[in-house]
Formats: sequence, structure tokens, C-alpha cells
Amino acid sequence: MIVGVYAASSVKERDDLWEEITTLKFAFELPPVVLGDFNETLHAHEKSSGHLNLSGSTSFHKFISNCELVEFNLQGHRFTWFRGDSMNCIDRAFASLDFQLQFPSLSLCRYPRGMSDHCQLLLQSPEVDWGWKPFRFINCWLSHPSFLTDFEALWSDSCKEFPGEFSLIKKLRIMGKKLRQWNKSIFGDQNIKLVDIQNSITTLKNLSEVCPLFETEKKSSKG
Amino acid sequence: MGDKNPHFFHISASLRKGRNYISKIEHNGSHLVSSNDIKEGTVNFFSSLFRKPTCKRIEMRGLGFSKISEAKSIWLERPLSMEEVKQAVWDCDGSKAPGPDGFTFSFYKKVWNIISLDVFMLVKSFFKTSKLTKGISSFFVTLIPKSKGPSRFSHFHPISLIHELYKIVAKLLSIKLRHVLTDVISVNQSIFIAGC
Repeated sequence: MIVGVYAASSVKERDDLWEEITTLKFAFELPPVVLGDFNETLHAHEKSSGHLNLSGSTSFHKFISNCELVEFNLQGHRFTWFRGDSMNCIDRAFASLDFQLQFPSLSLCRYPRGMSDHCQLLLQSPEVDWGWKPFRFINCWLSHPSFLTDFEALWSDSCKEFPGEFSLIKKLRIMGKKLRQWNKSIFGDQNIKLVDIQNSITTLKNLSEVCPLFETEKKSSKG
Repeated sequence: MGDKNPHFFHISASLRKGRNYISKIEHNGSHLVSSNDIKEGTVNFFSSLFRKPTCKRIEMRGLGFSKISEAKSIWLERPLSMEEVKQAVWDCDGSKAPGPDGFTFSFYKKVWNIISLDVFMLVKSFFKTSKLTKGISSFFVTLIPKSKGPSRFSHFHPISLIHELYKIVAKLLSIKLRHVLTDVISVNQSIFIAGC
């Protein structure tokens, strides 16, 4: 559900709008995205003047926390609105946590404002390839029962590859590659596993509408 | 808490990822958007920030610094024991961000019996030759936003993620020096000594 906002300039009218959106949010059980011109700031540093309309921003704060919205941070800029010497950040985008989790790569970017007071904002999902990713040891691997024995076997192979007393760095580097493979073979692709589990939960839930579940099935349907 | 509450953990992790993500940044008056430009700009900015200053350093000859005794200097240079190295490793937090090779101190502690001799040899060779083996002195620089909505490189705080082996060496040095600091630091600078 996307809510486009063009808020009025008076505090009273804005309060009514916040209430209206809050009602909408709870009426539809969809994760909301709320974006547009809110004509209000949350913090003093979002205005070039530094002066905050306290009552207006307090009710804006309240509205955001009531609706459980999380803001998309504006990338690379502070302000979105310009007139004369004053600059504000009144155009913004929020979404519920669920939405943010579903689309974690979304980011809010500012584009030139042209003739308008407002800058163009674009909520976009850049699929950027940042290139090579370094190896990271995951501490939870240590809790796997076969970690130590597997590691010892892999290590003694590496010792044969790089004999000598001063080859620790080389050995660790090759161990990184080996542990990556070990992780894949032991834990597998977590994303595929997650989808599998979600699918089986849905199947069980559908089944439970038709006939009662066994105790074990009930347990696994709760994930 | 994070381990027991996956939903909460995922939310905070992805929110942090969003906060730390750089999709656009201002550098030398132009806005960098493509990943290649951002990469290049980052390297530019921080390599000039970390450059050695060209100005001459002040020399401090002829000042009456206090010296440590002969006995203590021999004690400082005594051969390293495995127990000391182990102590240094155990003094380090296992869940801190790892260096460029990706291994954490939790890893070192868990597999200590298997790799301890290798680590010992490497550290010992440093104390003998005062040279670090190639690959240990390199580090990753991570950018932490200083404020909300950072728009320039100066809005980021660079943090160096150094190699765990480098940390072991540094820890060993600091443990050793701690014992002689009281002799060389004057009374009015005792704030720099732990426990004084």
C-alpha cells in the first residue's frame, strides 16, 4: 500500500491528515509506504534556520511511531526544499519494518529540482555490484559439533601445501577458501532453506484449515 | 539477545546496512553516483588524508628523559613464552570485527591447540627481527557515518580493521611496557598509567 502525502501548511490540518493515514494503516493489513511532501520536520537540524515548530514536530513524531514507520535515509544530502535562503527537509519516505525487510536494498536519492522549490526524490533499488567480497569467519561455525575435527583435517592438508614454520599467513588464506566450501556443504544455501521452510509452513497452515494437525505438525507449523 | 531473537536481529542488521550504505556522495564539488566513481573518490579522499605531512618534525634531543634500569631492559628483552602469547590472545575480545583475512579471535581461541605453534613462531620472529611478516600490516578501512544523512567523505569516521596477528603483537608490547611505564613517565603524567 503506497500513501502519497501532500500535507497542508497548518498544524491543525496536518494533525487530521496524520489521523487519517493512521486509520488507513490499521484498516488495511498491508505494509505501508508513506511518502511525499509532509510540510513538517522532525529535528531542528533538518531546517537551515534551526528553529523547530515544537507542536507540529511532536505530533509528526507521534504519527510516525503510532504507524510504526521507519524512514528511508536520504542519500548524500540534507535538504529537499529550497526557497530564498531557507532550506528544509520536508520531503521524505517512510515504510513499515516488514516492507524495509522485504526490500532491504531500497534507497532514497535526490535529483535536481529544476524550476520547483522541491527536489525530485526517487525511491530506488540499485542492484550494484561492488565487486569481490572478502572472506569473513562466522563465529557461529564454531558451535557446529564437527567444526574442530573438520578444521583439523583441512589444516593438516594446508600444512602439507605450505610447509615451513613461517607460512601462517598463507595457510590462513587457503583455510578461508576451504572454510567457505565447508560452510556451503554443512549449512547449505540459507536463502533456499528459508524458502523451503516457509513453503512447508504454508502447506501445513493450509492443511490445518481442512483437518486438525498432529502435535508434531503443530510445532513445525510455528517454525 | 540477538541470537535468541532473529526477527529483531534481522531488523536491526538491515536498518544498519541501510544507514551505512553509500549510493551517492559529494566529492570535490561533483556528485558521485556510480559504484566505480564512489570507489575511486573514496580512495582519493582517504589516501590524501592519510598521507605523511611534509612539514619537518620537531626534534627532541638533549632532553633529560628518565631511563629504565639495566635489569628491566634485560627483562623486557627476555625470550617470549608461549604462555604470554596465549594470554595476549585471551585478552582480546572474540566478537570484534576481524582484519582483512576475516578470522576472529573466537576462531583463534577455539583452534588454539592446532595453530598455536604457527602463531608463536610468527610473533617470535617479529621480536627477533622487528619486522612484521608481509600481509599483517595491511588493514581494511571502514567508514562509519558521524551524522545522519552523511553527504561528504568528511562526514564519515574511518576505522581501521587490523589483522588479528598485528593485534597480538601490539598486545604483547603493551603488556610488557606496562611494567616499566612507572619508571619512565613522570609523576605529573600518571594519568597515562592504568591503576595510578
